Amino acid sequence: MVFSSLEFLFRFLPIFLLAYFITKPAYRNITLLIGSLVFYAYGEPIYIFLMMFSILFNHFVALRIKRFYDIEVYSEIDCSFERICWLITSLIFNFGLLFVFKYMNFFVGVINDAFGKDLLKEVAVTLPLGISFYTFQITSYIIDVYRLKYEADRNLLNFATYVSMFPQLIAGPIVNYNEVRAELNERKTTLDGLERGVTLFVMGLAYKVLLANKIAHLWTDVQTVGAYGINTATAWLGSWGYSMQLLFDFMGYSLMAIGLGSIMGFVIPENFDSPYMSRSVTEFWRRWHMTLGRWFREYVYIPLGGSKKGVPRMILALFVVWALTGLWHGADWNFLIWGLFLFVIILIEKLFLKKVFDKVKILGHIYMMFMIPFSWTIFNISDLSSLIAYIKRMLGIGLEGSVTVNAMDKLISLGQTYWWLLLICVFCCTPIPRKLVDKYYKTWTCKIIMLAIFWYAVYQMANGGANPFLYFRF
Amino acid sequence: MKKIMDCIRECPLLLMIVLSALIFTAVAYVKVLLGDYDLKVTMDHPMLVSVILEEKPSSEKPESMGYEEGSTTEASTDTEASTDTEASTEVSTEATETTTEATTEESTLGGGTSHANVKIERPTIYLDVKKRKSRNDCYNDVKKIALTTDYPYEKKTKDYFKDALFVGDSRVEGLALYSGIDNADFAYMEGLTVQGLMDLKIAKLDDKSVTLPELLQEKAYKKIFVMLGVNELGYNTDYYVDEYIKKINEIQELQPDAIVFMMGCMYVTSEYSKNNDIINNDNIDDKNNGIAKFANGIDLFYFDVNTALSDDHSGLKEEYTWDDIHLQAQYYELWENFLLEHGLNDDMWE
Repeated sequence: MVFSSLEFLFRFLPIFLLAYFITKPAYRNITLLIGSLVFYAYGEPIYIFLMMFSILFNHFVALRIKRFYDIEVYSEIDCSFERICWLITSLIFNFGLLFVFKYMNFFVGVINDAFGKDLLKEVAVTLPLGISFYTFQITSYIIDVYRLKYEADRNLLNFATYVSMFPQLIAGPIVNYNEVRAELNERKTTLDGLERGVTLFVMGLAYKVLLANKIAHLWTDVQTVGAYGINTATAWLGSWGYSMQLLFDFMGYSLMAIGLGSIMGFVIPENFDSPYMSRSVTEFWRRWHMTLGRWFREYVYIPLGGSKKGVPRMILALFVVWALTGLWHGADWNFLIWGLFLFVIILIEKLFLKKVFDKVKILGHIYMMFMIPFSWTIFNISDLSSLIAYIKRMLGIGLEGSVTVNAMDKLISLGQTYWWLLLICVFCCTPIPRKLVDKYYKTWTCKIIMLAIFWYAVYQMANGGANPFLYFRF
Repeated sequence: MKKIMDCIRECPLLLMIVLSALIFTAVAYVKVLLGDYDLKVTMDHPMLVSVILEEKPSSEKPESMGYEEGSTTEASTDTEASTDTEASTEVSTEATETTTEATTEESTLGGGTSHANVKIERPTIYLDVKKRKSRNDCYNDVKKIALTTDYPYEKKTKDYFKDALFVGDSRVEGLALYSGIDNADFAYMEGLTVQGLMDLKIAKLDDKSVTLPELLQEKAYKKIFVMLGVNELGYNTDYYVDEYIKKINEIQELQPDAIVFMMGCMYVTSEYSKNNDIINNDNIDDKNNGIAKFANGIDLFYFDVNTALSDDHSGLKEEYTWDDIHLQAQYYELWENFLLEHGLNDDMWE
């Protein structure tokens, strides 16, 4: 069940919220947990047991680690070996599951290709919903407990609620335990938080349904023609469209999650800080999917030495972080290439370009105008030969077998269809809409606009999902 | 009581959303009681019932919140469509009875006035296939696939298109933009259906947008190639065929000297076809069979373009397409070549 579906909006959410607010505050975690499990089970009837087992096991591990610390404090016996054993067990368990479900088949394919015959068989698994996200949440908890950043929670219900909480379960943000710990124990739902949450939720819904889903057609239109039939400008236009789609898709989801959190009394961390306003790729990744960047910084980059131990060490740390970031987004070559591309770019920025962009700020924006769509293009095309063809087209390198008759026509027709939508998207890339909403969400003007936006988005969803006549127009 | 007042004061947006949803729901159920809406559809999504109702004309786009307003027009088009269906049931019963040989009986309904007496000289040949069960009411079980009208075709050069007009939906747009046919005229629109064929401004005349009849009155063509169908897959086959042939006859009346080539609707990939109960190749075959039987091999031909674009009529080849529905730019050449290989002898126009 995704947030932008009629089932969620008109079935799950009203029933859940009603149940949630009827429940006494002390028992609301139970309602939230049951609601989250229902939400998850709707899409993953089998893998829900995997998640539940994972929760139980990791809760147990966290308590073991805590216990060995307690023993150390009281009896002064060194238990560091036991602790690290439990940590490693847990990490192997969590990342092992992630590997089996997400990377096994890619790995098998690579091995088979390398040896040129079918040495290993592919396993018949599908990716469990949200496993990349909850694996990262769980491991952050275990590592933090191990590092004594905070104490393990004795209460299984709290931990289970933290992992499975449906607002952030399937698409982030990746919440740290200490960010919601106090609220898990006791939280206040205020009417103001409720109204603010509804407003943010509607805003996120609009981003997803009215911007992302609409601008998505620009990319599909371009891909339908293919790299061989378009010109360079059209290739860039398509990639800009895709960049917008990706941002509003993801940012919309995060906003909806934050809104839902606010309704229930949680403060879920922000995940996007107008990333397309960045002036370098380095800055971009501090503002895009911030909770993922934070995870990699805290648990990979800094432990590997970060920037404190000299340039060669930093290069190594960056390399590992970006290779892993690439693979986290998907098990395929293009994701790895994409991650390594970012590694090279960020390295160049750190070593040389940063000084230039700091002096002439506009240069940074122009640079990002091309760097963002370019990197998302690598991210998006998983077929390598198509990727190479598309990139050749973007860079204006001759492409053998092209048909370029009337390529201008397509550019003009796409431009005419999408220019206004692109303009709205560009406006929403700036921090302005969010600031306006934060400032004016209590005014009636804002409320009326939000109400209209909500129903328009619902109308679009109903149209797209159920009416083949309107959706399929070829 | 105080709590409720607080709620009203503090959360008007939430309340407005809830209230409007309740009102939409209530109205929908009242409409069910009045018999306007179908109970089953209403149960699924009471708030959106009027949007989801089938047979909704695509041009109707009610405003964001005005669901109720749109409902009356829907009801009327609904009945229209169903009477159309009834009227053309005769054609459909005939169609199911036909064997692999040609349908020689010209339907009086769809056959048109001007050519009603023309004999079918070169019948369409059908390929027998294992029966494929229909997965939706809008099309019939498929037992055969119409092949290109039987004729001793000649190979032609590009010159062949100099007096040609191509008409159709986004697939024809692709042909116009990427095939390299630059000496013919094209009239196309994304999402074009038979209903809009004669009324929408799809053609260009001296840089002005005109309707197809306006173009045909001004300019004479010898060959008119038509491809439609993919946007009409949700409609009943009999209704579609009936409309299609009616429009073809109108075109023929405007251009009596032209030969019209009905290009069978292009397939989608078999993967896509498998997963879609409406947009699938059985439905496409059914609709193609419907129009193909009107080809007479004199001034109306049927071309099975899919032979050139699929393996053994199994679906559009995966490597030719990105979205499973349209050819990628570099493959429109295959379509063009197919047409050039199926050229008619010049005597045909005398």
